Amino acid sequence: MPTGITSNELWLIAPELIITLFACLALVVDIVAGRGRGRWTALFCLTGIGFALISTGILYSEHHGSERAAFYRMVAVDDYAIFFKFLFLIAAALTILISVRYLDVERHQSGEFYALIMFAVLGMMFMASGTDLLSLYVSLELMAIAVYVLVGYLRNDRKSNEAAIKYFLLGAFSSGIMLYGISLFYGAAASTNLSDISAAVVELTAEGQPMRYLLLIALVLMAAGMCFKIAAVPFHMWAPDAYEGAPTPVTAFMSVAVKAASFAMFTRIFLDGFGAMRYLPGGLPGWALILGIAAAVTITWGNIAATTQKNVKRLLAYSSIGHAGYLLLGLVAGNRTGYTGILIYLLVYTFMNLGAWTVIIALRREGIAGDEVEDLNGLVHKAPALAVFMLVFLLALAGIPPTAGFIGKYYIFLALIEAGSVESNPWMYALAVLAVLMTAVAIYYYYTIVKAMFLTDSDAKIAVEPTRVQWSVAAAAFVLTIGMGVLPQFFINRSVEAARRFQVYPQRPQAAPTPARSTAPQTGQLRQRDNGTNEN
Amino acid sequence: MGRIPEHSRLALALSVGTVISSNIVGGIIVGYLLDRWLGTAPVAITTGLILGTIGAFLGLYRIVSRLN
Repeated sequence: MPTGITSNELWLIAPELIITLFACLALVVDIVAGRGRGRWTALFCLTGIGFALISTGILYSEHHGSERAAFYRMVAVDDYAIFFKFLFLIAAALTILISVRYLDVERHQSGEFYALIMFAVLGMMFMASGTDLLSLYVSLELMAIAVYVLVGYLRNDRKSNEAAIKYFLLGAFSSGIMLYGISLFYGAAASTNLSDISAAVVELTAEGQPMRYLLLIALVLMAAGMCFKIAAVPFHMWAPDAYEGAPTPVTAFMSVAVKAASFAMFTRIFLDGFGAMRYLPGGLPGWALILGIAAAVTITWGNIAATTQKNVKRLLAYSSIGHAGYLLLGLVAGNRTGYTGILIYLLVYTFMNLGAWTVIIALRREGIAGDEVEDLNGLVHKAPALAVFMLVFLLALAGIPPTAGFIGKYYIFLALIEAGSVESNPWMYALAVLAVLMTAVAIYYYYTIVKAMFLTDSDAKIAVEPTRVQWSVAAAAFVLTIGMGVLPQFFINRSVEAARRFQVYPQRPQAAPTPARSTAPQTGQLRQRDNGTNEN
Repeated sequence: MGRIPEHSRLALALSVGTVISSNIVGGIIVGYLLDRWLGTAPVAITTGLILGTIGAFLGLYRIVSRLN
């Protein structure tokens, strides 16, 4: 390994360097442009994102199919990282576009908002490419701290402040838990590098090794920390409060980009680092079981709690908790279909969810918050195009063909069924059945919004006038949501490519399938079936 | 919810550390003792850790909700 940093290595992180530069300069531009000229900063940041997209494209064409490690194996540039970098950059660009008018209405137009989004994106990009627990942790914090500030951005709004303090304190707690897990892994494996850990873990978790219990506890702590970041039950309560209180563009950004970044990191750590701990020999529960239970509870809770919500922001928050559960299933299934499923799901989720949020943001106007379900009443008469867009986004979120949402869910469910038949694991089937049942619940609460838009008359006389930018973002998301559903092959190929780097971690031969030992009530049925087959 | 006076809000904030550590440590100790008693290591201690972490999280959430 050459010592020092070579220019070649710097070239590998060119997109990140561009974002860093533009984020720092954005603060200067904000001062130079003067008060209330936040639009200039927005434009400046969009230019930076444009350059970063171009350089990511160049990196993709140069290193396609290969993996380059840089900075003493702290980061790696591979198809997986590049896939996510594209996703984050596009999500950030759309977020900036929909923020401009919103901040005008809120009278909080200033450049720091856009600079903070840029810094958050910087953290996300390193989260997708980090291959060391330390670099991953630092990038996670870079993203999280920027987002804490963004959540509390409306300084004079009590709800926004409340949301920020909740998110910050609980986030700090979860980071601490995760850091403890990282330190235990370092103690056991003598390295923070994911590939070193993955090599060490295989031996350390063999039967009779004293260190295996320590690693199990470390795994639980890591899983708890990551579950907080993706808002999985039981670490989800911050999500509805933070989503409701945050400025709506930030909510959109959190539910799309922050969630995707957390999943990028989650998947990388659990597959590249702890892959061998998917099943543990000698009757210990591996992460397949721990995350399987978490996913089952998350899907059930997220979807059922969403049915009682009257506020669209809270409703979409609970639905995003449910979606996190579906995404976890891809990891639990642990095969290539599942890995591909996570990526394609995140991709389509980005566009359908951003689209839905854009419609909500377009409803925000002087004097009307626009985030109660009632505010959507009779939208079809006021703004027919927006109502149709929203309908399609909701259908996609519910996973109904031919929208893109169906492709994501299809891959996840297929992965579970494959895993069930290959590993002869009946609880994978049970998870798939539960996931499908909960999709039916999801259709119900999305229908309440559709009903308000199309079947209920409104008494409010104020017109809905989306700006041209908002309209274009919604239209672009609409086209992509339909397009990905009708012609998914291009996006599937990219996802397959990105997921190719991950290995499949089957059950180790000597290990018996581990029965569940958790007290989670929703999985009682799964547990019984599991035990039943073990005895056969 | 009425406004809580400044000094008791401070007291509430100071209890964050106690709530977090007592939940996690308590979960682990109970789990450890159960394991020793029943010889089921490491089932109970892991369950204790998970439940303790969840408990700490819930406790923290309660405190934060009351602070506002």
